[in-house]
Amino acid sequence: MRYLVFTLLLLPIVIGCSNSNLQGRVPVRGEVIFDGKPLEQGDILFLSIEGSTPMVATGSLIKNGKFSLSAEKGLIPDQTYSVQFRSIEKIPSTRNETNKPSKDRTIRIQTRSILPRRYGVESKEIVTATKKSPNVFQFDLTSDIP
Amino acid sequence: MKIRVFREFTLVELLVVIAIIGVLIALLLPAIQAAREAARRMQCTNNQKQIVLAMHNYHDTQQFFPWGARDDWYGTWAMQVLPFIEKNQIAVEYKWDEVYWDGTNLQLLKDLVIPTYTCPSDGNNNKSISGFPEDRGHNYVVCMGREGVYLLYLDNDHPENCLIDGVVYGRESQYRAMFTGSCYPPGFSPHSLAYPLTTRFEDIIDGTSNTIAISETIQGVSATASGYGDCRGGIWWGDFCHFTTNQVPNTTYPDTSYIEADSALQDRHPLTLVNTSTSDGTGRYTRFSARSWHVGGVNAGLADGSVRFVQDQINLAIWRAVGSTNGSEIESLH
Repeated sequence: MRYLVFTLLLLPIVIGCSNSNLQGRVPVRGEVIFDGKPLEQGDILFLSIEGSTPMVATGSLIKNGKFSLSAEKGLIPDQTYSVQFRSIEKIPSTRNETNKPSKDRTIRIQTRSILPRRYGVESKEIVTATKKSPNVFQFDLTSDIP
Repeated sequence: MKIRVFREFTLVELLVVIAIIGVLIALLLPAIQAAREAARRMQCTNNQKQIVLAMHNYHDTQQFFPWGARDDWYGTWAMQVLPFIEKNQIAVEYKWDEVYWDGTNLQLLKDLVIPTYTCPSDGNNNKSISGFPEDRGHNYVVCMGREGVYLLYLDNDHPENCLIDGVVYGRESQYRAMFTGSCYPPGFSPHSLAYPLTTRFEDIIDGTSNTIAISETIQGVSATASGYGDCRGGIWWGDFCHFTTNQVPNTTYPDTSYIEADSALQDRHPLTLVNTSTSDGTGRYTRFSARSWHVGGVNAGLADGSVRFVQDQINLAIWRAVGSTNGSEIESLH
């Protein structure tokens, strides 16, 4: 009995030091598909829609189509977010395409966006996080029809 | 006559004592580590206060605050503040019409480490962030506003060209930052290089207590053989001497740079490549969020000289509001 009391007294000391998640945020994960295949690399941004309080913006890198956000960096349940995507690739160049430091310090790296512009700032993708169910989202993106 | 009788310890008693001592040490050790980190954070607060006070002293002599950056290589706020943190011997010899990485300036900045510009929580120990000796990593960066992109090859005659993802940046933006950078038009000559706009106390109409001057970044991991590496923390280099309040501190949404990231920091402080071929007509730019190795937030120095710890989970509306000098936003950090 005495040990039980002692342990109970000790518990809050041990637990109390963990980082608090003040806003009750929930973790989020999911997949980004582009033209039927997982998006190799890029990033995703969740941004509170106009007028939300508190305003939240969070995001992560996308690797092989997958992304995940921990609870601390996650979404607030019952808030609606607009979702933006970005994926930039290097354009292979014939001359000095490397990022190697040179004496004159010029960097000749050239890049372009893989995704159409409508998935950037003007993105129409919307999600709402929920408190209970696992927040797993799948986004199907398509390239512009020429 | 009394005889004292000493009873020997039993093995169990001894083990119990050792176990108790073990538990106490296990409890105490993390607490000591946390106290050490708290001390480092306090030191960081002090550094930022010194820098903002130095900027105030600069304002006293020049009648304006230091400008953010001139192009990418022609000086940043960090050189201008030097005389006011007792590094005048470097400042008087510095050549403003030359690049920082060559000639006299190279000799001055080579392996130069300024403790006041360094956050003690950063374990990178001021190693070079680019592989060049004049690019030793430091931690403090100036606020370039709530949109916060630093444009390279900006066409100063046609600022309406400065669109990124459909948003107008730079001088035409309705929000002014406390610090700005200037760039040269394509086909420039260094002598035509314009000095950036400067801010005076009276320009901060949101109030100096509601406007951010400086905050932190992390020192990029040293260059690898294959390239520059992650150049964050290169405060002598215009493209890397600033941050924006566009995203919350320590966000897992990546920073943007035209230099490829080393993978070492990608989990906590990601960085991606900029799109150099936007149809908007602008090319390279850099965009960085405030970042630190402190737990749960960053220190930020306000324009009035106070320094506050800003949590990662701050309401973004407030964080963006304090990033501009003239937004007339009602939000404040208090």
